[in-house]
Amino acid sequence: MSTKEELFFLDSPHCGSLYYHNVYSFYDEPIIFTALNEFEQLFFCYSLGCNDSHDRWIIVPTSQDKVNKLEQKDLSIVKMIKPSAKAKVLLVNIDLETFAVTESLTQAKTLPYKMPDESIFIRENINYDGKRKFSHKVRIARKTQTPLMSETLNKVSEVFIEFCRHYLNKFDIPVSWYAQDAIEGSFVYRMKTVTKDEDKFMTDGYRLLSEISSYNNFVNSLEEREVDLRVTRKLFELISTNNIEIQLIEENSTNVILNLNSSYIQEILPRVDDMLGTYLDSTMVPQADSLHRIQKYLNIISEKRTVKSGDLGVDPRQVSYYRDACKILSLIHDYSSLTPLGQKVASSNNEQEWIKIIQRQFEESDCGNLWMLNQNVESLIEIDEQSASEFLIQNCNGLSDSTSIRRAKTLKSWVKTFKAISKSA
Amino acid sequence: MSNNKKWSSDYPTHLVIPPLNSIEINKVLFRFVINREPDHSDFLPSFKDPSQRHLGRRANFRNNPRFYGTSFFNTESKMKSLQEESPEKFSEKRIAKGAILPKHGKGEIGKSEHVSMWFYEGVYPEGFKVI
Repeated sequence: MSTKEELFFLDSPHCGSLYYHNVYSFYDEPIIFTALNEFEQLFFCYSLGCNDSHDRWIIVPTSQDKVNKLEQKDLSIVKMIKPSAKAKVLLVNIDLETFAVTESLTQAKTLPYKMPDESIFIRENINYDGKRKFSHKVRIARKTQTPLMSETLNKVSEVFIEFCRHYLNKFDIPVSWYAQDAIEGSFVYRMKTVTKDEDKFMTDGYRLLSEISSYNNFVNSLEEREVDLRVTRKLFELISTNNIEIQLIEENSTNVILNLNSSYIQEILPRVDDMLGTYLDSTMVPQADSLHRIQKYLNIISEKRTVKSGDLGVDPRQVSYYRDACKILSLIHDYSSLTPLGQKVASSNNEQEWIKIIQRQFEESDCGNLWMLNQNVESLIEIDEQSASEFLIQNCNGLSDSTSIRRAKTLKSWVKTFKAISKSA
Repeated sequence: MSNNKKWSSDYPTHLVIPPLNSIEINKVLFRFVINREPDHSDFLPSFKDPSQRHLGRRANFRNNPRFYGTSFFNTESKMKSLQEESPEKFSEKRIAKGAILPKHGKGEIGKSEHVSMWFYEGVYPEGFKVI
């Protein structure tokens, strides 16, 4: 972080000692920026350049609310200088030889200088004093006047970040997103991102995210199975049914990295739905070889006990695999208590009965159903279990070949058990 | 133009100029100039430029190697943005384009398309044209 001396801009008789805060334009020195004085009061500073004898500046006292609007591009640069017809601004002249500072208050509307057009907004925003704790903004807007339900707002921002995180993860760019605060009077959240490789995130990551806004690029990504379709569908549903526009904005460049609106979503949604019918990812594929251990897991839950690795006879990592398998089979709820079918499996003493229940549940799961469709069979009893590895390698998002082979072991093991039980019936 | 590859003897001794991470640049760059036919006076480092040398009163400039260099930008669009944002400041200035080569000195590619150049003693980039 810079020292006070390094941040010093000007000793102003009217404004106090001014220190650089956020810089919006730079040429040899910051030329458009906000400054803070020793009392943390905000000033908008605008360079008029030098004439033969003086370095000339306009300084306007301002507020955080106005700075927020400037930084969100709701307020143009000239509107910061001339906020109203009656507004007065401070004209500051710094003598080029003696460095003496002279100031005069002038009515903004009579300023005899060339001013930026009303359509000119800031194009970058570099924090100089290290006081900014966020790196990105998530901005949610709605075209209609009807109020936005708070749960919709919360849900859409949560799923949007989940979507960005999943998408970047697919390209090995893990990013953690931390909410910092929100801008009063708007649906703008300020976030801090943390990633190990900042350069990769800012180059490859930004490019990948911005390509989502392009129909052809995104369809290509869908076809290449680079997208978590379930998170995508969840986000697109929220955007389209609530007529929302959502943007990810990088603070330094002020660039919109990703922009999703309902008209774009409606264009692309049919393609997402087409692919969703045959979508499989690693979270949908079980990794729990023993069906008897699944029943054991359910037994422990039904006894209101916490499942421990020793109870199952597996290493601690595998406890969560069995929990996930129970969820895939709809035998436990997301909140880990038994479903009615889970209760039935847990309490059954008839192996034929409970294994049949699990078979039916797996046949109706995405993974089991797609595998049967892929192999053109009506029941898992008819399937060739040796096809499991190839099926996962060809169809499962986000699984390497070696992981597919490992997961296929579970599928093979289950089918062998289903077949054995079927034969003994 | 001499090309003795010596650095300016006017550089302050408390700073390493050009910085150790500066590199030879071989790029077409842009700069604001005054003259229709740019000459050496259009490429003065900030600490010698009459309209900027007063900045040396501030420690943040005086202690920054960039103050002893000359600023360029990577793109014409960046220059036009600056003019749009600050029409008064750049009203007397023209955008010039030209090649910066390793024989001119060393540079540092910074953020926001900015490039700082430190020219060898007596050297400036001839061949810049106002566009």
